[in-house]
Amino acid sequence: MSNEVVRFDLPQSEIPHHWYNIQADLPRPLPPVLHPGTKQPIGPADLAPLFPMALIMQEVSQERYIEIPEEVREIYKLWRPTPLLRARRLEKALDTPAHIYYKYEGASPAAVTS
Amino acid sequence: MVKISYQQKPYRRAIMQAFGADVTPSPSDKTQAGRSILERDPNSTGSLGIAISEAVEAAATSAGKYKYSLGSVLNHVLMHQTVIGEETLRQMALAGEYPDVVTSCIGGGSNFGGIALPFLRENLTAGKKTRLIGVEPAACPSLTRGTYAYDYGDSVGLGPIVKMYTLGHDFVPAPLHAGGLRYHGMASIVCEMYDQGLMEAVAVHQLETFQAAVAFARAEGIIPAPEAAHGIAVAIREALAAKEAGDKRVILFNLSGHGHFDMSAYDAYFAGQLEDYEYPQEEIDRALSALPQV
Repeated sequence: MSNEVVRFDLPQSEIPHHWYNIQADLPRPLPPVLHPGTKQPIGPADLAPLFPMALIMQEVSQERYIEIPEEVREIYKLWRPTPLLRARRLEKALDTPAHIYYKYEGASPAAVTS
Repeated sequence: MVKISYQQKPYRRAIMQAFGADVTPSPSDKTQAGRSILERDPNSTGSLGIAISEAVEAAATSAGKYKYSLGSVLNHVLMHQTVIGEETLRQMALAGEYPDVVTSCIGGGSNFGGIALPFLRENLTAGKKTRLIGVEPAACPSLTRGTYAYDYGDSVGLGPIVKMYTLGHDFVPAPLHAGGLRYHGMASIVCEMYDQGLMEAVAVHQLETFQAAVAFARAEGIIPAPEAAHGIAVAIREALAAKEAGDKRVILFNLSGHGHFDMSAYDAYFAGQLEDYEYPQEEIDRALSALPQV
C-alpha cells in the first residue's frame, strides 16, 4: 500500500460552531421578498404564520456568523464532520494532472436525495 | 410529497415514515390549492411548486399548529448548509491545497450554497480567486435560460414573490431522473451571485451526468445520487480541460449524497432508456408570460 493520503478527516471537536451568512458580504444586498397579496416588501410578521420566528430572523439577518444551537451540534455529532477525499483513482482514470477532491455527505440521513 | 415521487420512489416515502412523518401525496384533496389543481386535472402527478402551495396553505391555516419547513431555496436553508464548506476549508488546509474550482449541482441551491458560500467569502474578503460553478440540468435550466424577475415560489401563487432566475411558476418539469433539480426557480442568494458575476453556471444533459456517475463509481467506489452527478460531470470536464491545458488545477466538488435510492434511474440508463431533453424555448416563453406584475 502506498503512502498516498486519500482521506482528510477532522475530529469531532472541529464541528463548526457557526453558520456563515453570505448576506454580510454580498457586494449588493438581496432584493426584497414581496407579499403575494399586496406586492409590497414582506416583513417578519407576514411570514410568522409560515415559519418559526427564529428562522425568519435568520432569513433576514445581516450578521456574518450565526451560532449553531447546541442541540443541533449534538445531532451533527452523529455524522459530522464528514470526510474530504481526494479522488486519486479518478485522476488516474482520466489521466489528468488536476487534483480532484470531493466532500462526501452521504453519511447524513438527509443526504439520500440531493 | 409530489405524487409522482410518492408513487415512483416509495423508499423515500418510507424513510420519512421511519422518522415519524405522515406523508401525503400532492396534489391532495386536503387543501384548497390541491383541490383546485385536481379539478382542472384529476390525473395530475404534481410538481414541487404545487406541493409547496399545499404546504404553505396547510401551515397558514393551522392557527400556529404547523410550520412550513423546506430543504432549499431560502437564505437560512443555504446558511445552515455552510457547515459543509466550513469543514472543507479546514480539510483542504490539511491536504495542503486550495481549490481553483468548486462545483456542485444546483436545483434550489442548498447543495451548491453549502460548499460554495464559505469559498465565496474567501474570494470577497481574502483575495482568493476560486471559480464557483453551479451545474443545472439542461432539462430545467433556471439560471442559464431563465429570466431574472419577480415570480411566485409556488405554482398556485399563495407564497411570497421572490426575485429569481425562473422558468415560470407553472413550469411543468420534464421527465428527468435528478428529481431534486426540477424546481422552476432558484435560491435568491444563488441568483444574486450569478447576476453579480460571482459564480458561473453550466447546464448539462442527463446522459453526460450518468456517464460521469459511472466513471466516478468505478474509480472511487461510491454510487452518486443523480443530482450530485451533475457536479461530477463538470469536475470531469474541468479535469480534462486541465489536461488539455497542461495545468495542475485543484478541483473540488460536493458529493451531496449516494444514489442507492436511485438505482431504478441507473437501471434505465444501463438499459439505454434515458434520453437527453432540451427544454423547448416556446414552453419557457409560455410559462414566463404568466409572471406576476409587480
